[in-house]
Amino acid sequence: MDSMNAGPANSAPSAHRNSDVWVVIPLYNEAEVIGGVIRGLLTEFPHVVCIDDGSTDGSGSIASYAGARLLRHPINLGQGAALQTGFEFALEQGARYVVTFDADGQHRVEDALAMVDRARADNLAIVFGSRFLDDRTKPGLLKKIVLKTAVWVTNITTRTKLTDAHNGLRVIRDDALRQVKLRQDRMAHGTEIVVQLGKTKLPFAEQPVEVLYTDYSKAKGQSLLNSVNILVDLIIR
Amino acid sequence: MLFQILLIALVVTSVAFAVRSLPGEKSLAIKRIVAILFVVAAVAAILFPQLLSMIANFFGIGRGADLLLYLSVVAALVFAVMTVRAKARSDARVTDLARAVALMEARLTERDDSKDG
Repeated sequence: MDSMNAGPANSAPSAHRNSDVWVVIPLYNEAEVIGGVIRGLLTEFPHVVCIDDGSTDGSGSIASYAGARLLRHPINLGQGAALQTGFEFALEQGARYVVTFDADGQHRVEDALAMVDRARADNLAIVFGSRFLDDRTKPGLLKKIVLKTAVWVTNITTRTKLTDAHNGLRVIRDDALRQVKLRQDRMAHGTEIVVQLGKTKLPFAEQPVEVLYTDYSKAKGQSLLNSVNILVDLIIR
Repeated sequence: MLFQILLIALVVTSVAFAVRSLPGEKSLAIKRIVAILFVVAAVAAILFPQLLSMIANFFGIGRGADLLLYLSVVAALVFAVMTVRAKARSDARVTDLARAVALMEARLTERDDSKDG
């Protein structure tokens, strides 16, 4: 376990201004990019936890070597399940805020930082990232249709009015997090988490963020067909 | 027409029943009662083939074989829904187990780390 102690996570001073923040990253076969993502986060956040969801390409070791705290699911369960595991771990560690972050490098650390600052400044329990509040993000037309459909379904099934329901970048305060129990193991958790956070009646806001569509994330991102899976997952539960 | 209505009602209620999971023992008992009734009905249908046709005619269906087909379709549907739900329940248990393992492993590493340091 030398690799775990070698990382900057343990050498970061506890007086760091974001030492009460845990960044939770569900990780499944992202060996190419995960190291860079974690190193980027560790410059601003001392606590990064990766939930290796049964990766087969050594992603977990890379994450651990890069300085993240590593949890391993013995089998692949899905992103929702990995998030829930991360939430429970972060709460055990005494996290005040949890940042959910994607492993594929499509989120910006600056955005996460700004969202945490805003949650503190405005006393918000939840800050959702949204790629549709400004025009920095350029999703393709098809992607836009899929995402807008997801938002529409989420908004009619919840009372929360959001512009981008399936954005993986969120900041959640511990009091809101304690009321979250994700049961959708796969992709439908994007809607589920909004539903459950909406039920807490705690103050929330949306923050414009940029989603970087690199060739890598485009190749790995959700397809149109997966939105069918999301709908079916939400109906049969 | 009578049978169509009855069949639709049967499909809807059976699916609703399958979807609304009853507490363990109760639902198991009901499943067993249905299974026993099914066996009795099957034996009766084998011994008295006309019986099936009589029932079918009563409901306005031409042949007993048609009635049998309809009922099999309903049975298959109920079975499918119940299987999907059973699998979802077992998936949820597996998730809880895997999560517990991951968290326990993390706690153990934590303890080792603090011992080393």
